[in-house]
Parts: sequence; structure tokens; C-alpha cells
Amino acid sequence: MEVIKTIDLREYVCPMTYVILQAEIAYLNSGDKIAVILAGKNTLADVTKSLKMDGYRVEKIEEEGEEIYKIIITVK
Amino acid sequence: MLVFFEFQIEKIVKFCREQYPIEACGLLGGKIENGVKIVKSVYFARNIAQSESRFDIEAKEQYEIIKKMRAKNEVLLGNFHSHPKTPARPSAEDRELMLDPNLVYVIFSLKDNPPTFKGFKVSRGEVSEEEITVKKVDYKTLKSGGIMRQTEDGYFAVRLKITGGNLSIEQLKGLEEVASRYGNGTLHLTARQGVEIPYIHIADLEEVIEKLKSYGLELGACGPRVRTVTACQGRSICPNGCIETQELAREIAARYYGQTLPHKFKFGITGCANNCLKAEENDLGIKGVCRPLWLKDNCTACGLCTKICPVNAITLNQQEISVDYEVCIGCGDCVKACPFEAYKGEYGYSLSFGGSFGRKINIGKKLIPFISSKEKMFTIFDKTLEFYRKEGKTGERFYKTLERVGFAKLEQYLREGERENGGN
Ligand code: SF4
Ligand code: SF4
Ligand code: SF4
Repeated sequence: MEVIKTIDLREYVCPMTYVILQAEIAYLNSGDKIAVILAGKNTLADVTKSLKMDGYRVEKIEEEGEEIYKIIITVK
Repeated sequence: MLVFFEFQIEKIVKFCREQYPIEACGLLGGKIENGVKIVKSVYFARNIAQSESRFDIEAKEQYEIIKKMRAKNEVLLGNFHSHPKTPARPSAEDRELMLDPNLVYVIFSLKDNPPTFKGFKVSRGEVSEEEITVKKVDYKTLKSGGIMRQTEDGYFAVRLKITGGNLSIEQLKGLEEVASRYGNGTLHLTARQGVEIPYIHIADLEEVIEKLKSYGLELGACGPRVRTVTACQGRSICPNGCIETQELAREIAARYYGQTLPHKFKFGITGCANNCLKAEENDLGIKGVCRPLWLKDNCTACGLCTKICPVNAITLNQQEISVDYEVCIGCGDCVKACPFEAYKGEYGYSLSFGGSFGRKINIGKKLIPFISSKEKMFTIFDKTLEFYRKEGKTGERFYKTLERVGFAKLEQYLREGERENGGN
């Protein structure tokens, strides 16, 4: 399955990062695969912990640059 | 009977000497308990007669003083004046002014050194002596029990024993009542989660202590002993928490609070590596930590954990994860974030020793990076206090002792303790 959307959250700081991500997810359909771009170790930790708590599984993680991360998840 | 406190007598004598050779005068305000008049405030006044044998206070000034008394919930108990050169006996003129049977008239004589003083009362026109008691104030004993002298004579800030920064609504009601009735209507929150009630007059102390007790509030400890045990909310409330902190704080307080040591000693408990409670500021700091144990079978080598670890303690090498426990700060993020449950988190305590954030700053040293048994941790606490009692000089903070004798000596002492207790 292909990534249908990339959500760039680099400009946000916690806790807004996850709030915006949730808002974006709300417009997507179950089964959609998306990529999320995050900046900073702390943000990566916070977002991935929150995703897990909400029942999402990070399927893949790539480092796009210095502390820039791309994670792949599938919408529930 | 009229009760003075020592410092009031000193204050009056000083004032009388300053006014010499003119008669000094003033009013006494306070409270009456079971017929006993207790002086809370001494109000100096100007003798408008400016005479060596007579005194008179202007009506306007008397009125101003009575207003001040009312504001403090005091009643007029009597007055005082000095006899610069004659004994503490009422003169014919004094007798003429002793009219109110409800008041006590005190005369200070500067004729003798040290000055003498006597109280008088009047009943159906007859003047007789009234007994005066002078109470000593033992500041040191008061302080050790959490009652601290304020800048203003006679007033104290009462420190309460609060554990882990938690107060019940019932206790808050007690604080409200005491602060508004006996204090100045304010409470002070201390830097270590404590509460102090300022502006408690020495004459009200016993009553205040009884009142506080009835609300389940005890006085705090000052001086060279185990102080308030501080704690964050911990696991039962905070989702980040690795350990339960509040119950632990109560257990520590029950076991050690108020124990005498060479100097003050502080325990502080923080629930996780976020360190909201600043564990290393304390003589003995306790931090909840998570030790991640990698479960190879579940791991997909996705690499997420290696990227989120704040201290880069995790490396992934050919499908193999290794965690450097020397570097790991026990935050538990890897366990919480791993999408494949490839970590099992073991929760425990990390202990730091010799922290101090007073005149000199010293960050507690992490001597025990991980211990999971609470029981064994208490043995460590016992041993640590025992060590401090044995090695510490009077008035020496714990970190100073550790610097002097070496941290290694404490480590060795703790290891010996472990062996006595069945090892590991
Ligand atoms: S130290 Fe940890 S457990 Fe305690 S309040 Fe802060 S985040 Fe929560
Ligand atoms: S996050 Fe979990 S699955 Fe991914 S590499 Fe680390 S341990 Fe393995
Ligand atoms: S517990 Fe925290 S510091 Fe330790 S390895 Fe995991 S992420 Fe790193």
C-alpha cells in the first residue's frame, strides 16, 4: 500500500504537534497510509509514545536529516 | 495575674532608660484567659506632662493605641509607667489615677539596677499588689519543633509537617482558621512543599498547636534533623511516573522524620527521569527509573528506539539491540514507544547522595543507579543515616562529610550492609 499523504509537522512544538496530527488523521479514511515528518528527538519520542497509547503502530522510521524523522502509520 | 514575656520587659526597661529622667509610660494590650491577663503588645506613649514624678498620655494618642489593639483583636489590660528615681510603689498621684478595677497598673523603678517592677490593681478604692509572671522564651527549643522566631519580637512563623506536598481539604480548613484567627490571614508556601503560618504571637502558640492538631496537622521539624519529605505526584497520578511516590514519602516520613543527625537532612522523591522534584538537590534523592530489557523475539529492528533515546544509549547493530546501562537515564521512553513490545520495562529506584542547594550547591551523586526492592532500599536508608551519624561532625552537612571521608567509604559501608542482609 502506498503512502497517500505526507503531513509535515516540523514547525510545531509539543503538545501542538500531536494535536495537529490528530486533527489531520480525522479527515482520513481507515486504512490510509500516511507519512509524518517530525523535527527533534523529544518530539519524536512524545509523538510515538502518544501514537502507541492511542493504538497506532509506527511501521517504519527513517532519518531524513539531522534530527528530522519520517514515520509511517496506517489510519485506524 | 499579669503575664509578661521576657523580651517585653527588656523592651520596656530600654524605653524607660531612654526617657530618663522623665517618667516613661505606655499601654499594655493582650488577652484574658481564665482571669489571667497575658500581654501581647506593649505600646509606648509620650508623657505629655514631661515630668520626673508624673505622667499623662494625650487622649488622642490613647485612642490611636486602642484602635491598634482592636485591629489585632487585643484588649486593654493596663498601663505602665516608670519611676526614674523612686521605688516601684504607687505615689499619691498614681493612686488618684488608678481608677479602673479591670486594669493592671505596672510601675518600673530605675532606682535599682537591674530595674524592678510591680503590678497594682484597685478594688473598691483600695490599691493592692497584682502578681506578675515573666515567661522566658526558649527560641531554640521552639525552633526545633517548627516554630520560628520572626523579625518582630513575640511573633513566630509556625511550620507544619507536610509529606509529599499533599494536604487534605480538612487540613486546609484548619490552616484557614488558624491563619485568619491568630495570624495575619496569610500562609506561606516554602520551597520544599511546606506551609508556614506567619504572625503567630507567642501568647497564642499553645492554642494554635491544639487547634492544628484537631485538624490533623502536626508541627514541622527544623534544625539538625530529618526534614519534610518531598515528592511529586508519581505513578498513580502522573502517566510518566515509574514509581509510586506519595506512599513512599509517607513511609519514609513515618520511619525517619524528625530524627536527629549532625545537620539537616532532606529526602526527596521524584517519579521519573523528568525529575520534576529535583532529586539531586536532596541529601538523599530518590528517582523512579525504568530499566529496559530487550526482547529479541519481538524486535523488527525498526530503529525507532535508537532515535528517541535522549542520551543515545541504544545501538542497533545487525538486528541486535544493545543498551548501555551506564549511559541510560531510565526514562522508559524506549519501552513506551517501541511499536512491537520488544522491551520489557523493569521499574525501580535510583539513589543519589549528598545533594545540597543552600549557600553552597552540590549535586547529589548517583551511587545506586538501580534498585528494585523497596525493602532493600530502606536498608540503604537506615545504613546511610547510621553512617552520617557515625562519620558526620556536628553541624556538618552530609555532602561535606562525604567529601571529607570520601564517597567510597559510604559505598563500602552500604555494601557491607547488603552482605549482612543476605547479599544482592
Ligand atoms: S517527575 Fe515524572 S512522575 Fe513526577 S510529576 Fe514529573 S513527570 Fe510525573
Ligand atoms: S523500537 Fe522496538 S522493534 Fe524497533 S528496534 Fe527498537 S526494540 Fe526493536
Ligand atoms: S530508558 Fe530512556 S535513556 Fe534508557 S535506553 Fe531507554 S530511552 Fe534511553
